[in-house]
Amino acid sequence: MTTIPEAASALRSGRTTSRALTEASLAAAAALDGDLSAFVLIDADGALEAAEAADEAIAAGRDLGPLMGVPVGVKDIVDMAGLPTRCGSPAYDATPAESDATLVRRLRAGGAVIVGKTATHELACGVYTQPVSNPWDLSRIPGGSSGGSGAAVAAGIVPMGIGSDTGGSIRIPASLCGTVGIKATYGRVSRAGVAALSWSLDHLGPLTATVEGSAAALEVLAGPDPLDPSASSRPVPQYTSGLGRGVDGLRIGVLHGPPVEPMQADVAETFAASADLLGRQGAAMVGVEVPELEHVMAAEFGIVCPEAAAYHRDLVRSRPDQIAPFIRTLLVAGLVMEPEHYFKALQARRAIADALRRVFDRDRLDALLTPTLPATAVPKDADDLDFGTTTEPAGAAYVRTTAPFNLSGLPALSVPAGFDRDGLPIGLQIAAAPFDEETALRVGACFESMAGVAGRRPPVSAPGPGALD
Amino acid sequence: MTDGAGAAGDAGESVAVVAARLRELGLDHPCIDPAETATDLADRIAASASLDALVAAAGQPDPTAFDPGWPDE
Repeated sequence: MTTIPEAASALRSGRTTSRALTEASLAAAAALDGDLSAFVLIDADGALEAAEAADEAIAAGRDLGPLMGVPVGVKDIVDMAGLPTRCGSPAYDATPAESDATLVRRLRAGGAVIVGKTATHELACGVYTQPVSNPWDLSRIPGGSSGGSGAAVAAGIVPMGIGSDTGGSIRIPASLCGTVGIKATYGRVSRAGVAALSWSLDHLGPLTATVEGSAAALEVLAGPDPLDPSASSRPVPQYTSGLGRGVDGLRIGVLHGPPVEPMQADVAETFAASADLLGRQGAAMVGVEVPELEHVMAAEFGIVCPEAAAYHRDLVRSRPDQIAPFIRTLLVAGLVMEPEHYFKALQARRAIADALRRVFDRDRLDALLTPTLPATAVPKDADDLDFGTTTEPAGAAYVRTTAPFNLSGLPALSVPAGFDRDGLPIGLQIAAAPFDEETALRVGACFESMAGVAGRRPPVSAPGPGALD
Repeated sequence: MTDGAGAAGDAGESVAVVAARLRELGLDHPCIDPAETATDLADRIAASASLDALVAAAGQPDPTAFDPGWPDE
């Protein structure tokens, strides 16, 4: 797998060209996507044109940033001028978008090469992302809703994929596919030009092969935007600069109780070992519980349901038969339910966000650990996860550990932590205080360097480093 | 449908009320079943009710002013 730092280094040293990287990416997509279905659209002509421009910039001595000349995939809920935005839904037509989303403009300005649009679960509302397959086991789901980006990055087709995250949709595929993924603080990355699922919970961000890659990508993606009223005007740090500082002296919470439990035994073992590893690097590990998180799912769906219904109001009225039954039911409920339930869910969100802040304050935490997910990737035809003493719908189980950080808006990173007995990836989630992505990335980089998990390739992956040879 | 008691109470009545509400909203489509919708609504309203104690304990916070930052930092 070619990583963003490897590609950036090779491009600047003249060991490769953006055109070579892009051709390798397009070749990998052609070779692998029959199995993976990670892409819904490949824009070879546009990609090669962008690659030529990047190579010209490099030859002229211009440096557009860490993504200059790097092939990337963009989730198909994000507008790209001249290409349709289908949102994984048959109800969306092929009308091309008229303009680029803000984050696409940022990618282009940074010299990134967009090779195509990656698959999303329908309307970005689900964790299966059919028909996409997990590169670690083609019979299993990649997670969602950014499952195409997760599969494409894990398989080494692109070093970065853009995802969106309303209840975990960056971190879920990152965990299930064995990649890194970060949802920065709410407002860090503009949502302008991106189809909404839930305005007040939606986040955009990268899935990458390494923590350094995510840090570099976030430097390009983050920043103010007059087109998004939620976009923060706070200065964007140079996220890559603090990655090597280690964790000595940090206080890191280890979350127990709801919503972490129940979890699969292999996940529990890996989570405990991950906390021990960080403790051995000098961090003070503090066990914490946040009882208010028991209410995460009721609050999350109490907000998603009416906000998604409001956004898709015309669609659900005019073409409800073209919406999957589970999503249609959610949208109809959002239109029918009284607004008191929505406002109560918003109040619960405040209560949950305040509870997390109290824990950070009380225990003087710099970061908070959870397993990214309580389970590894479920088979495509399975509805439920088996936790031994209980079963739970996969769509709920995969969201309960990630959604607290959508409700609170806190930054949260998923980094590969290990593998279960079937060889499926397990993720570690690292959350931090608002706008402190630096600490989440710093802890993630330290963990990644010690855990010995990064760099393992799934059975279905591009030969590499390919264009760097 | 006006509140949780109706939807979660007499199932027959709630289905009729939900069907009327669906018609009122322009959602009377063959693929939208009033009975299934009523059952789903009852579940969602029960989930909403489960938040009552949390919200009360938090002092009924203002739901319209979410800011991801911690302002007094």
